[in-house]
Amino acid sequence: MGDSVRDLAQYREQRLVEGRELMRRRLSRRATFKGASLLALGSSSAMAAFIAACSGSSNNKSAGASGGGKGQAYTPQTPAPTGAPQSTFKDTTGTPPYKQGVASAQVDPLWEQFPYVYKYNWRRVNWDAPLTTGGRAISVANIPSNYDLMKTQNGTPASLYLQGLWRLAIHAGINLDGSSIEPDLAAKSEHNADFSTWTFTLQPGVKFHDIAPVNGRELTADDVVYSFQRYIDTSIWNKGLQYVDKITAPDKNTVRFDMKQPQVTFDAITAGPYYLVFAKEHFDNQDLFKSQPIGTGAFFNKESKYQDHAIAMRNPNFTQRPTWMAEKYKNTPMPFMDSMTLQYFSSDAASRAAFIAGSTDDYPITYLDPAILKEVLSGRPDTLVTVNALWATFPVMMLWNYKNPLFQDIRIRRALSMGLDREAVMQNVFSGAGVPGGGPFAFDLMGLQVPPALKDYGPYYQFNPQQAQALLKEAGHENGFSIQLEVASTLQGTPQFQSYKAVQAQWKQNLKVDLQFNLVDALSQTNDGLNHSFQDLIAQTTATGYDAYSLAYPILHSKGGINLGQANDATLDGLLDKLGAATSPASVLDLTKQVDARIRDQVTYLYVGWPQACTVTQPWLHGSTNNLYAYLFYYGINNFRSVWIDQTAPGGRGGKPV
Amino acid sequence: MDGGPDGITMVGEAKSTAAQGETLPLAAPERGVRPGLLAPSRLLALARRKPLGAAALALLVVLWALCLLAPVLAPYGYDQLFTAPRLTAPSSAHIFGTDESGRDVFSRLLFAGRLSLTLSLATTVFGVALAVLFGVVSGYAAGWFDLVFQRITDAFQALPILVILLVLAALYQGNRIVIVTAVALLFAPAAGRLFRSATLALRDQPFVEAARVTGASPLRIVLTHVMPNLYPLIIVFATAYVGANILLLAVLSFLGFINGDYPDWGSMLNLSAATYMVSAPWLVLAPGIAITLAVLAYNLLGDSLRDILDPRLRGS
Amino acid sequence: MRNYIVRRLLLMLPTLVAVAFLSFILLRLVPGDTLTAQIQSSGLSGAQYSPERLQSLKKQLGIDGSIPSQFGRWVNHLAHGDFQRSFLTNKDTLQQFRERMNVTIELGLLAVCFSVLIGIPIGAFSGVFQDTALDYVGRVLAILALAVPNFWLALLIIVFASRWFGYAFPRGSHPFFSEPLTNLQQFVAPALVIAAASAGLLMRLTRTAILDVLRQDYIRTARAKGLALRRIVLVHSLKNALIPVITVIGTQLAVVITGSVVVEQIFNLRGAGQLTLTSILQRDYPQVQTNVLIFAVVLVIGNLLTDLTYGVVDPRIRFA
Repeated sequence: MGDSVRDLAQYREQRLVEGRELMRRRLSRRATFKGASLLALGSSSAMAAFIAACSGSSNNKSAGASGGGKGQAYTPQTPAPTGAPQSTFKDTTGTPPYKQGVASAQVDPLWEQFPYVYKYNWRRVNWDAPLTTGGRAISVANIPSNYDLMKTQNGTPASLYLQGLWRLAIHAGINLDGSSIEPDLAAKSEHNADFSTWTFTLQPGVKFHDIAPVNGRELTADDVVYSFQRYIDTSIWNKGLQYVDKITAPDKNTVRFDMKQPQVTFDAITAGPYYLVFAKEHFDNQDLFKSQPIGTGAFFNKESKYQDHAIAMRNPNFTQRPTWMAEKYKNTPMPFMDSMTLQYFSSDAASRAAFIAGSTDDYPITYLDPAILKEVLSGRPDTLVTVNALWATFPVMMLWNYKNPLFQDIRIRRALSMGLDREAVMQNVFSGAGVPGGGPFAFDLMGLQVPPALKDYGPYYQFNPQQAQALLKEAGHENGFSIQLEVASTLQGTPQFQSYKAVQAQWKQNLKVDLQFNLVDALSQTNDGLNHSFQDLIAQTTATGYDAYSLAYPILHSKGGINLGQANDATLDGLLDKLGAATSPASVLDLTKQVDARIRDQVTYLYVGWPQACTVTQPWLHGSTNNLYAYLFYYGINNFRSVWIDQTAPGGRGGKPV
Repeated sequence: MDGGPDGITMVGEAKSTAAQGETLPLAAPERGVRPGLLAPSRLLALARRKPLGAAALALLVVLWALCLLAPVLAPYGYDQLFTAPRLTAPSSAHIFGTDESGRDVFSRLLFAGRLSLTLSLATTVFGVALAVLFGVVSGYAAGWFDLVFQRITDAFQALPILVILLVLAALYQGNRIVIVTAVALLFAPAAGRLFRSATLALRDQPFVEAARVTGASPLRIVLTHVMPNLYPLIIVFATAYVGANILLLAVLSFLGFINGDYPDWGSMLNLSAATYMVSAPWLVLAPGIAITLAVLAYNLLGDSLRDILDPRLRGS
Repeated sequence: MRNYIVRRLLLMLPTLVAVAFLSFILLRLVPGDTLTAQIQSSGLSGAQYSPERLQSLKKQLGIDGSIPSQFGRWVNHLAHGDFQRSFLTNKDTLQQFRERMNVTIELGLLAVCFSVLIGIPIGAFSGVFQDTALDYVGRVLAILALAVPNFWLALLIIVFASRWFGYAFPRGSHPFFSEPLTNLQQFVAPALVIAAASAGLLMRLTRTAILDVLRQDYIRTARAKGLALRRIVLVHSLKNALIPVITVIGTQLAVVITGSVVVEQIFNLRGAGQLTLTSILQRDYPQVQTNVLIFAVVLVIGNLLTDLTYGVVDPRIRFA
């Protein structure tokens, strides 16, 4: 190169001619091929356009139009009313036949109106399966980032390793439709007449795990006193103990709580996973305390890696026996299994796939989505399923921000509640696997056998769009308004989120209220909630607890810690205070009902309904189910002590018959 | 047809064949002879030369048209709940079935397409423009300017996008413009380095040296000598990334960074894929096929454009 | 050349400082903190939750004081080799990162290997046999690889492996050198998924580069001399075609590290990308700082190596 410019031009000309020759040759050879591909692409595009045009014209085009033709909105079927007690059950679940269930089990016909609960009732589980001991289960769990019991409470894997005075029990022999708490570290608990003094007598001969620095020594009342005092002084979770005045240990086996005011359900408070007992020398070493749990539980912790897995090994010194089981098993040492692997999955799909492939023993379906249950059952037909009547502690609800004058007006709150067809929401979103209504209390705490029917919730929970519109008009908002719901973006795709969408559609259709979604990251949402800095509405799950006061106070009392909308109802506060100071179970029950009636009347917050909770496990895992208050592998995790795995488990993980 | 089946004519025949085919002048042509850039005759010739590209362009036009005309074509609204029970299979009323809230998937697909197509195009155009600007300038200038500039780009690349995206999502509540800018800035450094390396290789070529010797200004050299050689690279990269950006926006929603009720193909795919892949495969197939068609069309078009714009064939 | 390297290494320092400071500020702009994160992860179900206690605990955490002073403290710790402990797990952040690093490195290396081994040969064949059936197949494959969303592919693999074959991917840590088979079972599928998009890009770039090179004069000379096509391609063209390709490989490494978060999440692997994501989401400041710093170092050094490789591959490039 480097020739004169004219040479350059000549050279280029030559190259051009050659290039064209090359292309011409190729073109004629490939003309057919290209023609064919052109035709294919062209025709498929044309077809697409044609289809689009066809479907566009043959259907009602305007969004939201109703009446006649294919564009009509779907009308949901509300659940059929219950007939005579002898009515035969109609399986409307659409799921494959339930192979594992004991079909002949006696399930109360009351549950027939809840098809999923009836078909997958806990009573259908074969509770008489032969007991095996040994073996290793693999359960899905959230591995906590640390074991600092003063801060992290985190779904309670800690409850595997440590014990509280009482516990939540989920096993056969206990009425699983109810609260089912029973003594744990305490052999029994006593209280004085007005419930202002509680005395717990501890089980004798309980030993800590053989891990330094505790080294398997015996538990004494001093340990209980010390632990509770630490919780009161340093824990984020100390509000439940706010009425404890003095804790003493009259002797080695007795702990006495003197309360500032009566606490009828103090034993239920100690059953929560917040007040587990540990040793002083363990707490003194903070680094160890945060990383290695040491307690008296049925399992001890061998290793734990955040977001990975944890291994729980049998505690050879565990003294409790399964007194509820058949005579021949009553004396079998617990835990039945040798060890458990708690496995964390970062994606739900991987967790489900692992279950279907048989490499894990359970799979959490928190809000029951029938489509997912169908998928699991079709992939693994012999799965054990239990669906709970309702999950007491996680209704679908929205909290309004009382700083917004809109929500200070009771007419607007009532209008929004009456403009919402709860039955339609539960039917459409959950395909009937849910109950409309909702509230802070489990139905058993209100003295009921089944969840209340919607018609029992009072006038402001009934779907009454005309009256709702009238109320709105009276309040000066005849043409509706625009409000914002703050939701965690990670909630998208979940049935809970779908319920909110359904509420949005309802309000737009019935009240011209425009509910907009403000999706933020989960932590920002929590933060905004705790700081009361969200704009109009916020999505929320509620409190965990096994007694009415623990469930209602935090969220409804003006001084409650998770009363995110800052509801401030003096009457309600008064009722809650009385509930907290009640002096008899009868008055607790009465006050609970009064609180419930008040929040229904005032529409303090917007409750939509209760989805149903579902547990699926492999057929070789026994003793596992859920109840009103918790799943076995979540808040009820201490119940793994009474779970056993039989010899049909793959990979040699099974136990041996007793 | 004069000049052969592909319609290319030589200089000198220009006058008589101007109406029928394109001319590729080697010397400056007389005015008024050369047909305009977008003359139908020229476009037709192009189409005949590159049928695959033409088909791809047609497909793109169809996709864009379908999506932009969504309000007219869609049988239902994009957020119209429970037009049928949730998760119903495709039928005559709902050709792609319904999703988990009973919305018509086909309608959502059309509306989502507007967002996906426009956002990905905007992101790519913006990002590639930035990358070309900074990459080429950096590569041509070399020396200290290049060094410093590259360190700034390094810093940009080194900052974890997750941090940036989280902050943006939190502070700007999923503002689309902010997301577009952020995503564009995401791949601009990488693209910039690519163009820079290509420029580096080119700047020492003899013809560039020749141009410099003849006294052309750096700007002119870059525009008329360097850039045309980069067009193939830019086109390939840009068309590859348009498709990638549709997916990138999907990943963002997977990680929780995109706000809003309005769907886009990626988020439709993402939300349904994880949960309903087995129970409702149409939820996954519909946006998946849409994305694939769009990416296919862009890439095929890009290939053909590259072939056309390659200076060695054009002889500019 | 040596001066160049030294200069680059020196310039690395201000880059790192800038990156660290920027991420420091950015993270603190977002509301929320680890304590709230821990409450949240308990399901915000604390019936017994005490807001007053939370406030006092926040003070103890040390997230007070002006941002520059906090940053100064962090740099000071760093200078003493102390990467501080994670707010969440109370473990040393560097050690946590190291545990996750192996996964990401292996995933990244495998992904780059696969994309190179798949992308470049197909791209080369596509370019050499331009406009033949092989070319069309290659181009369609490349485009499909680019079109398929990687998380979809990942989910597809996981779901249907379990449904059709009853296969579950191994979990836990299985280092390659002690349990190669289990390790590969864990890593091959996710690496392929990540590699798919890169392979597609490489295919197309290689094809373009080969096409460009094949038009050059010296190739015509070689053909005129009668050299076999294969020799031409391998000896003369590929090296020159590789320049843009090497850039892309270099950038893909960076993309893989941060972009593999989604795939890690789906396949349930404990990688550094996932650690960064969770730390950010839970505002674990020390962990994020450590991760950011190390990523930045890796990236900058990676870029330096890529630039140096140009010099090796393309003799026309001179280092000023």
